[in-house]
Amino acid sequence: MSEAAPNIKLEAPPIELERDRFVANNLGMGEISDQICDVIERPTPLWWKICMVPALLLLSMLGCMIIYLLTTGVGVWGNQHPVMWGWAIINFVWWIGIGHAGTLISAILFLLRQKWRTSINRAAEAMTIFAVMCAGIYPLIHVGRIWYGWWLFPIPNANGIWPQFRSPLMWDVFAVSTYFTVSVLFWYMGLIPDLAVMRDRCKKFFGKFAYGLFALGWSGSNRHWRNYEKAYLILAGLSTPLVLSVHSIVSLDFAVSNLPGWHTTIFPPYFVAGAVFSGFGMVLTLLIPLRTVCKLEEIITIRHIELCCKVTLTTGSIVGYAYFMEVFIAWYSGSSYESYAFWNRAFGPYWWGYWAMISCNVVIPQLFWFKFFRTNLKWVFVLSILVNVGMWFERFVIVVTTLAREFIPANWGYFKPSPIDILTYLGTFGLFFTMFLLFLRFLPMIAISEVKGVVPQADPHHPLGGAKPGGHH
Amino acid sequence: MATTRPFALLSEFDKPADVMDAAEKVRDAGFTKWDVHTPYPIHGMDSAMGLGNSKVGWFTFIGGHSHRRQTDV
Repeated sequence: MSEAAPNIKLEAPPIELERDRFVANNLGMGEISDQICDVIERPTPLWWKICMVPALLLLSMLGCMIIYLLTTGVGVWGNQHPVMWGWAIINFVWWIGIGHAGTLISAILFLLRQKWRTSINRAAEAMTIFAVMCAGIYPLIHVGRIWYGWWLFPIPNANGIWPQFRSPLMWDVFAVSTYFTVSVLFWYMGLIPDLAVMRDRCKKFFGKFAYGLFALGWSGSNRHWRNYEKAYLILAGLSTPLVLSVHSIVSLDFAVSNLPGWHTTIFPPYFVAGAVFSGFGMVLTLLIPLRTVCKLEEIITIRHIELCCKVTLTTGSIVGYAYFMEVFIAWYSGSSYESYAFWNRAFGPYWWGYWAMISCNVVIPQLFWFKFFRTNLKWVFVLSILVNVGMWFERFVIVVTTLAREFIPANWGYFKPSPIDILTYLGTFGLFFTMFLLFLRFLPMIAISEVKGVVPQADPHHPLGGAKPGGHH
Repeated sequence: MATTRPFALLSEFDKPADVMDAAEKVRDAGFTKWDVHTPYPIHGMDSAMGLGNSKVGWFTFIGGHSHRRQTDV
């Protein structure tokens, strides 16, 4: 038996079958740090100033719109009977959805040991936090009397007055605030070793002090790395259910009600898939220009872009399946209200929204089946923007078509947004981009230590990491 | 007053495999007050240093179970 055991020799795959490395051109450890920190350390680049001006203008417009809303009342929005939920909830759901890519990349892809996440996770997590901030504005201001905002939270009070715990809007408060807290913790936790890098490189006193303060005395000790990696793993485990729970609960805002088109069990998985879809769309929209202007093509490679495209294609196809299933079940249920709701979506007064949604979310992403479209950056950029256009229309179609055509024809109406709706929405882009640009300028936009950890030079069992042939390392 | 006992020893390595080899030798020689500093976590270094599992999991477990239930408001 033993002499029959074949001497199996695995040969290295031919060079043309080898996958591209996660960091191109075998950058050394120092070069990786230099490239990533360059955005922060060189004098303020012109593109940054050019982008910051419109971002700040839009942010101030958001401030004006919020002040106008709070001093005048929610009547300044286009919400009218019967469509009492308008752009505020559409934009809330849209921004929250965008926020899902960050946690998916940082938590789920981490647990699945997808090493390619390291080049994009920091920026995606930052995007998540800022998107959730944009989303969080809407529930806060839509109450009109913002000074009662604390009523959203179950704070023990002498009157024994509690929020309505049976309302999914209440569940939203818990889901979103938990999500935000955990996302910020996760982001900060991952930043600590990189803040230490910034501290050690920074030459100005104040910068050194600030980075050093938040680096918490990090020294790269292996005794620290041991605890750090355990904590990272636990946080990844804790945020994984959050990726699924937040948009599930957002979908319950609709699914728990009894309206045709909303009261369906497919909503939670369908919303989660849509959220990841839109999140990856935004990741691509941000990273494609950034890798060029920040000269990070060697760290955010075409392979990373291609992998993001594949996730977009997968989730977009799940969303397409959900659209089809909704229509099928509306017919199969035999419920005339349900069937009418879907007929109305496609051929009623909001047909343009429905077909914009179908073409941007289902049809156009199918181009990602082709390598040409996944690797051509101009195409990916355009398609990634269309993904988020489509996802905005999805929320518009869900919210507005159902409310405008509910059970009693006497209650039917047509929703038109007011200019304030539109300007507030544009203003949230100002908040998002202001925060994101500040992030790019002051914090490393790529996880330096994590990228270093996935290159072959870092692997003690790889020849480039110093492993000797025949030795056990 | 010249002392012959060194206060500490510091050594720099270029490759992760080398630092891991060295760590194993220091571990096997029975040293306890020593550390390895790296710009990224090296897989397998914990056992090369003879360190057990991190206690962060226990802190998290106890922290997660230590919320106070408020039933009397």
